[in-house]
Amino acid sequence: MSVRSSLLPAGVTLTGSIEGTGDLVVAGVVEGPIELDGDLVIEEGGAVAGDVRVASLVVRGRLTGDASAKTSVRVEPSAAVVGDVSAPRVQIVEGARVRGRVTMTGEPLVPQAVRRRRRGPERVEPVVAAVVAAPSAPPAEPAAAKPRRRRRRGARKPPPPTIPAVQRQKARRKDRAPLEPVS
Amino acid sequence: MTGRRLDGTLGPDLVVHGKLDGKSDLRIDGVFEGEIDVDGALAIGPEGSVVASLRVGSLEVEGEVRGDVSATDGVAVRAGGRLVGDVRARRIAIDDGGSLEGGIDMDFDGEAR
Repeated sequence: MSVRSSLLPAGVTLTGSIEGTGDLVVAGVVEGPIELDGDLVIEEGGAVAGDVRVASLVVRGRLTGDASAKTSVRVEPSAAVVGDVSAPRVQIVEGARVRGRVTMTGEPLVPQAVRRRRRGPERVEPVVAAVVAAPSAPPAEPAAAKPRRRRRRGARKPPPPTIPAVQRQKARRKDRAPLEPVS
Repeated sequence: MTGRRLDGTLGPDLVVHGKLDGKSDLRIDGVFEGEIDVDGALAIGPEGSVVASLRVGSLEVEGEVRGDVSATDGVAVRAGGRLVGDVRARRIAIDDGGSLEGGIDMDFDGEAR
C-alpha cells in the first residue's frame, strides 16, 4: 500500500463526506458522498450510501447512490449497487446485483455503415465495455426497476393537442380585440 | 482482501468531514473535521490535522488536534505534535517538543480527587 492510499476499516462508520486525492478502500460503512481523484474500492462487507465521484471504482460490497468514474467502474459478483453508474467503461460481472441506469460515456460513436461492415461472421466485436447480464439475479429486481423507468418517461409530457377550431376562435377573438374598447 | 487485519488509514491528501465511529485502530494523516468515536487506538500523523471532539481508546498525536479528547486509556503528544483542547484520560504523556493547550483530567484509579 502506498502512503497515499487510505482505508476505512470494517467496523467503522463514517457519517459525512470524504474528498481529496489518493486511493481509498472502504471496508466499513460510509454514509455520505465520496469525491476522490483516485481509485475507490468498496470491499465485500463494506457499504457506501452516497454519491461517488472517483477516477475508478471497484464494488465488491454495497453501493447505494450514483457513481461516476473518470476511467472505469467494475461491479463484482459480491456487489449490490442501487443507483446510476456512469463511466467510459463499465463492467458488471455476472452475479452482481445492480438496479439503476448504466451510462458508458466513453463508447465511441461508430457510424451505422461501419458497424454493419464490421458485423462480418469472422469478425467478433471486441468487448471493450461489456455488461454481462446476471441471469441468476432474482426476478424481483428487474421488475422492481421497471416502474422507475416508466415514471421517468411519464414525466416527459406530450405536447398539448392542437384543436384547429379553438385556434381559429382565438385568432378571431384577437382580430376583434381592438374593437372591444370601443363598444 | 488479505487475511491480516488492516488498520484504518486516512491518507495525507484526504479531507473528511463528519462523524466517525466504530471499533478499530485508525491513523489519520489527512484532514478530519467533525467527531470521532472510536474504540481503538487513534494516531494523528505528522501531517494530520484533526478538528474534532475525540472519544477514543488511546490517542497519539504527532500532528495537530483541536478539540476535547476523552480516552479510556492513554494520550500521548509526541515531539512536534500539538493538542489544543481539554484532555481526559487515564495516562497522559507529553514528550519534549510536544505542545498542549488545555486542561488535563486524569482518572486516578480509585483515588478521591
